[in-house]
Amino acid sequence: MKFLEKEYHPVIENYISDYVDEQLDLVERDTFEEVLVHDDDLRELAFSAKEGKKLMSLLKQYKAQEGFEDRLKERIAAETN
Amino acid sequence: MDSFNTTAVKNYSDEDLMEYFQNGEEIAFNELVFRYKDRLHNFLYRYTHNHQDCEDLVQETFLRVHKSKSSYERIAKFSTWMYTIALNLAKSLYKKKQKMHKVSIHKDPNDSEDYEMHIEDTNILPDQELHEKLSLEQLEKALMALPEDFREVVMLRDLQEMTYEEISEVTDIPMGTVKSRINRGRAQIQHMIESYVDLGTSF
Repeated sequence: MKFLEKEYHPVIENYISDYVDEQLDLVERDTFEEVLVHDDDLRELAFSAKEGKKLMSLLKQYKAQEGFEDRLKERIAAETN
Repeated sequence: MDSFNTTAVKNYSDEDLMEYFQNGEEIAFNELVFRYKDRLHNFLYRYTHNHQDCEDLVQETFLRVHKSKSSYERIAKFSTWMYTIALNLAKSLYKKKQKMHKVSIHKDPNDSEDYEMHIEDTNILPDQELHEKLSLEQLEKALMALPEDFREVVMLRDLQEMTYEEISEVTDIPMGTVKSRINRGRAQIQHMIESYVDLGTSF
């Protein structure tokens, strides 16, 4: 995966982050996508990062188990007294 | 600071609650626990893959918040301060576990210390759910297969929804590096999952 090893100027890294997070306005996005057309590695990185972010949103959400707060209180009481 | 109003506890900011807690209001601490217990659990589970160990780690984080309340200064965001504690605990646990076991998702049959990572879940599921569950297991494995430096920032961003600035503070890494690692971490996850789907094999 050659595109992962390439280093980009911090300004470009900002653009990738903003592109993935959909923080670019329309003009900025069009301009950045024009750059992506001409740079295969950068395009691969930006598109993969965008898909990777979507995948991360699918991960299971784990929650504290029932009674957590009571058990924490007991532990705090035991360790602070 | 105004006197603490127990009926308005939900309206206080984290930083206000921490200040009231520093002034002896235990209810303020309880509210902070209520606000962050699930988020911390979701974050720290990825370091333990076991509910009991995860609960111990979440408890330890809150215990340290409780014991170190006087060291918190309001110039810092409470969540940033607390996540720094949680991340340090998680990292030291991770290092300890790495010393005990060499973790690899490519099991080496010649290495007796090498083992397959097991994602805890013992429920029996119908086919459709099983397929989805297997995909989610691959996703969890892909996340765990990321280099540690990449995984922690991706989790802080995508699981904890922290800003890049907050992640930079918690990890003590320049913001440019944080962004670069998150971009590459996310991209690697996508490629690992793509390889899995294309080849039908675990990575």
